[in-house]
Amino acid sequence: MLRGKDQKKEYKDEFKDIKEELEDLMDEFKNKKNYKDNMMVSCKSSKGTCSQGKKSNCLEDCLNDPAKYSCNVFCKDTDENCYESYKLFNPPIYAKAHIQVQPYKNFFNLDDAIIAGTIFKDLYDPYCNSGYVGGKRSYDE
Amino acid sequence: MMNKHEHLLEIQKVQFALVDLNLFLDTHPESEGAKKDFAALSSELKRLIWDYEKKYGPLTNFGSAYFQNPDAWINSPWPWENEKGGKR
Repeated sequence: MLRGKDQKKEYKDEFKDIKEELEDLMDEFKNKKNYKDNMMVSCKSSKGTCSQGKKSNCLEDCLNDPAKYSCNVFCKDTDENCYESYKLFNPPIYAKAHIQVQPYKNFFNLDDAIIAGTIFKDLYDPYCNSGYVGGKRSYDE
Repeated sequence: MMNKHEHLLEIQKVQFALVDLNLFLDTHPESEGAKKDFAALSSELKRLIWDYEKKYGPLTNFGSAYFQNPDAWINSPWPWENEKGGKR
């Protein structure tokens, strides 16, 4: 057990460690904040942002070159962001999915649908030949 | 004229198509064609179930089954009396 001077020194060292740790954390926080502040420019005044051109052009640009500055800039007004600048949106968008609209056409008859597991031939055909359902020749083909 | 097994299979086919249409309508609620087919198949399913229950007894026991044929209730095979793949 430490007493007197030794204990005081121990507390002092501990305090010093905590202080250094806190300073590191503060630096880290400041760096992050600076980064965000730098990125959160007003896009109207910033060179190369979408607000200077049409949004439709911007989308095309970003699809061709997603690494372009204007595609990754984080504007205070999120409407000014490029369509594809999802990396720095606020609130954050972590992923985007593109789902093609499924047309209502090209059906199996009821007998084949229950075997194929779908009424849509187009959902079956990429994997199996829709002319042969369940290993047998389809009624339609 | 369908036998009992064929009748049941026909109900399953229509039910399956309705489930798939239901899924399609979840993501395409504006599809007029799908809505029309869903309504038509729903009527078809009701008719098939009605005919089946009239002949062979209830399919479910939740108060919605046709109950004017109570003899069929006890004449239908119990689950443990069904052969593998369904009694024909």
